[in-house]
Amino acid sequence: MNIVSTFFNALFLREDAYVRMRDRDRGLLKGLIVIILLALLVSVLALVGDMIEVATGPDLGQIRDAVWQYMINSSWWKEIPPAGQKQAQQMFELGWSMSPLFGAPNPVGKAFDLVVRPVIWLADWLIFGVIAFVLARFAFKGEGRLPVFLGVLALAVTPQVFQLLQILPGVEIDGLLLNLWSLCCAYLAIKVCFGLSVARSFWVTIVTWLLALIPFFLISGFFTAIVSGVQMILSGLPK
Amino acid sequence: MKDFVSLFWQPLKLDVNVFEVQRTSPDAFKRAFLVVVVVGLLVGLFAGGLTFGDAYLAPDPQASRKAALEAMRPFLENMPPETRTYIQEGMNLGFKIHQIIRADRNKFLVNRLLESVGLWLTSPIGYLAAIIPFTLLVLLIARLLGGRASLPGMLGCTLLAVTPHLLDPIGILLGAIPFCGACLGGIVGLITFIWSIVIYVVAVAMANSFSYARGVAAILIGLAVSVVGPTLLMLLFVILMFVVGILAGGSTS
Repeated sequence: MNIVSTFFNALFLREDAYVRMRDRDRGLLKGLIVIILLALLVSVLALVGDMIEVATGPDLGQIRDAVWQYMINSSWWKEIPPAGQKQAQQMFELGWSMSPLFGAPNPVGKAFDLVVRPVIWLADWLIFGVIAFVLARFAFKGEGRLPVFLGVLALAVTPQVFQLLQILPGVEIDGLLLNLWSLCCAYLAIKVCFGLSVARSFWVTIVTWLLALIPFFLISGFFTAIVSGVQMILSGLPK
Repeated sequence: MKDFVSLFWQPLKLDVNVFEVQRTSPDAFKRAFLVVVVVGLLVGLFAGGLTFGDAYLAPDPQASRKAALEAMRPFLENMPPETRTYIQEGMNLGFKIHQIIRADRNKFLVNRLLESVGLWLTSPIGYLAAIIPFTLLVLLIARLLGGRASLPGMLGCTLLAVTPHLLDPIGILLGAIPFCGACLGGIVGLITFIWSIVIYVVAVAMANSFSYARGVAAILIGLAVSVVGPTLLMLLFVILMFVVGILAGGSTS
């Protein structure tokens, strides 16, 4: 229950929660467990939510067929040359395969998230943590140890708890809100661990976030490409 | 409990004592968050209920199709034949998709019920998403203008600007009245909006321990940055793409 109260106090930006985490034994291990457990829980509930949506929602295959039939039976389709019709078909297939990006349920993709999400969250945590540590210790002359800081920084994952609502079909949680909230938690972690002033803690947070953007995008892009590729291969398998 | 209930009424009365307490309380953000949750769930109950009610009372696909064709008939009759054909083909697709969605009424209602519950539970998040990002920007600007607000103190005060939205269910109900409903609902919405802004100004000033004039200045600068900032970024992006295009064109020639 102690870690749970620390979790929720950290979510609501109580500085004493971050101090308690800093002073805790094996804070790094506890932080790691919090990240992995929350990532797995979010992934499981998102998967369940997509499965509920598939079970209760309309048959997307029938809708896809209806749209395709409309296209090929339209008066304007007959005016397109055969090469253009083939290209239009490829664009249609490609567009349809991207429907999960626009909210269509994707249980297969969500199943992959059981592995991908914890890996991405851990990678983001380490990247942010190392960059922030280097900046705070060497550029801003703060005092703190990396393992202790990483343990406290794990509390920056607490706002992701709202993603548990994805168990309900069609729920989308505002990414900007969660990212900014996480950044506020990271700011408090930096302030508490390195003993920096408000202004210095702010600059370490912002500069770290800017420097970490490129590796964040690269890692997310890498896993998205792999998962999309595997899904495309699986969808091409005979039923 | 009495203290928590006062978090709803005191901001509405512009009682500055509530902001004084919130400014220094270690639980300021948690208390204000709970206020947002209560207001959000109350308003969301109406919105979610209306969404499900619309789905439950919706006519069957055949009746909807008949009504839509009847409504479009005067426009279709006056169109050139080719345009009429395109529009009729598009309408037929829409009717077909509607039929697929409504094929199993029970499944459809379960899906809409779950979506309405989702809409209800995420209503507070809508308010948080509207207030928190802007407040963080205003906090930065306020600190530059000499403000002394802490992060939880600032959020704990400004989130109370959501309390006038307790009137939103009245606006939603009035909006359902035929003919004048939209106007009445709009008036309630306007009152809510202005009242929230006034509370927000007081909250910013009290959280930062400075004057209302500086509070207004911090908010106006924040608004300017949030409007101009993305525009400038977009412009920079376009210029960058233009330069990359020229360089790429130059390297291939």
